[in-house]
Amino acid sequence: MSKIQDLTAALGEAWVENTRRVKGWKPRQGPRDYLTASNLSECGRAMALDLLHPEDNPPFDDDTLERFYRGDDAETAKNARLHQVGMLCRPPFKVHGQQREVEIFARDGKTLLIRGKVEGTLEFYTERLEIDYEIKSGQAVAHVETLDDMLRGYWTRKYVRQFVSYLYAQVRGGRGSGLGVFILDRPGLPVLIPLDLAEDGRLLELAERTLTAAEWAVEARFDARELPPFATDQGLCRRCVHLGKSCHPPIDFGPGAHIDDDPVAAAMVAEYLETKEPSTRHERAKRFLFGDAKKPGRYRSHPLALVAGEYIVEGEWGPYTRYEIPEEIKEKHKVVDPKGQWKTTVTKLASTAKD
Amino acid sequence: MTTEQKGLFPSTSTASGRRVVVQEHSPEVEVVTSEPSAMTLYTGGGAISPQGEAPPVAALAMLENALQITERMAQVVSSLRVAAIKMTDPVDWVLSMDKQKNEAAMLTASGAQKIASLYGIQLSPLEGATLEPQRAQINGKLAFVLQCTASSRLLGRSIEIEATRREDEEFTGRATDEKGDFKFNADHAFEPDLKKAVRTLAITTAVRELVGLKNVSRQELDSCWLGTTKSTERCRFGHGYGTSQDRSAAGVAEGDVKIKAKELGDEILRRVGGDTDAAKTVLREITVNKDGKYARDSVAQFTKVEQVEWAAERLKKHPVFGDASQRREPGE
Repeated sequence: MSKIQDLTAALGEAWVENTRRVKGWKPRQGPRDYLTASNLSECGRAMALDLLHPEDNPPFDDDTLERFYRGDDAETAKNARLHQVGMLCRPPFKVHGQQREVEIFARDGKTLLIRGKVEGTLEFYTERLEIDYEIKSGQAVAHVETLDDMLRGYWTRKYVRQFVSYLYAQVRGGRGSGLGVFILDRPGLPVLIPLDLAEDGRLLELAERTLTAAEWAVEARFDARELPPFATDQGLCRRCVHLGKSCHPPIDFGPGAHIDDDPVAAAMVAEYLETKEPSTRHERAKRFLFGDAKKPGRYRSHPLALVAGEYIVEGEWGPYTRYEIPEEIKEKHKVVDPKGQWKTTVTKLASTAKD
Repeated sequence: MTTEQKGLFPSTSTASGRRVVVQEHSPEVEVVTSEPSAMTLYTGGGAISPQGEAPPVAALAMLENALQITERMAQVVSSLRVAAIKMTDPVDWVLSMDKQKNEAAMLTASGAQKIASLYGIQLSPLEGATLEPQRAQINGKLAFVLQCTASSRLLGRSIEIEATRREDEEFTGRATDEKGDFKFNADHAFEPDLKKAVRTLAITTAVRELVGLKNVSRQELDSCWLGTTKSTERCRFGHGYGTSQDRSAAGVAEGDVKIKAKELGDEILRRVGGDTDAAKTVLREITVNKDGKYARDSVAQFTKVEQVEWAAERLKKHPVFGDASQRREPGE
């Protein structure tokens, strides 16, 4: 009889084989005529090259394929739940049009630009309102709470681009409400993020920009127009599968380090480093004695304490103003500025090449 | 507000036609150069002065405090080098050792990407060309070549470089067979991947050459990493540290592989009657592939259990020391 180790190894191999058979994917070798909705890039040139050179995409490894599989599993489970949730919801809704194919055409109404699938539609029949929904899962959405969070992440921004393109195309075609909701699967309850194309100018602008870029990409595919320009954001290029293969943008790593030779600055940096350690010790002692927001100090509520017969520690209650703002109000006024803070670290170059 | 002769990078506007301005009493005290200036950071070597201008040394000689400036510039360049090494990790370096046991490290592509922004590295195409590698034939093999100008804004140096990758080189990406299907170890390099390898090589070469991190002593790396968890012990070991098989086996072979490999070694030795030379020959015979590659001289070179199992199967079928001959009775 086989050993448990052998059987376990066989199980593991079969699992990989199953993943490959179901989700296996081979890079396409020839040009394609339309874009896939799940892969709309921020860079117009990348979109055009997706059509002209799909072979630039490297094959996915087994772990990535497994993540795709898991994503499908999550969608299936959440879709089933939505039917039950719809009956409890007030107003109630029913789910239809699941995995509906969507084709987005150019302004001429004939040229196919994008093809994809919408997860489904929630029909609030008492309200006569239909809302499309998209289910997303995995690490990319694990820490997403708001639409702003989604717009900040490279991968999650792709999800938004995909969804608003559907919504926009439907509105443009005289169908659909321009409303949507993301259902983000993660441990615990899912996070629900509403989208309103008419209300949120950012989404409308994103949709228009995406479809304009898609039109250019398809035109470039059929030689009706030159390739779109290189992306100006080098961060995009670094993640792009076409970089160095079919796309050869300028190579520029920026202006280089800023050389500051001011003696005052040098003195301040030195002082910062010299006082860092004593300052940390001071803060630690202060927290122990007086406490902080998380933990009260050792002598809280003791008006007078004699320490080791050598020190007198005195304390008294005093007024403190705080604002107890409900979370929902706080959330409403939450603004995350991607350039709101400048993080600085200082490292001493202890040795030089001559040492 | 700007003043002259402040700090250690004083104004050199009168001497060279370029401006080095020190802004004073501002939270953003900075040295501003009107353009990447050879004067700003004179390194003492290489083509650092654009054509038609006075050489930096001659320009410096006209200044009263030329020595002070030169010394300070050398210090800054030296500090930049330390900063650059500190920004890298051990895996970004390949160590090699010559016959005299001198150890030197070379910066790899991953390291070059990390420090390129420190020096403001820029690669520009030659006049009338682009940065797309051009197709070429080298010794009958397909190759891609990229010629370009590489410069460092901070050092004020520029050089011309040429990066080439041939299709018969290793680590240049995917390969395809005659039909164009992707295959591991196939004969034809996948052209887009080969082109990308050329671009990567061009960036790496540019950084190494401009910054001078092509041949760094092991001591210098260790000295720069002093006080951190980084150590040259964790660098990649290249030429001079045994064969590539030895190196990979030393790092990877663990647990089952080691045990099974030892069992195989013992079995071979038993079958050849304890003759170590014969055992080595048999090991080579049962590990070599049909193309005559991957023969192993030692069982310590196995990295995967499958390799050991494959060799063990071939041992059983060995014409002299295989199972069939082992079953023969003496004198048969």
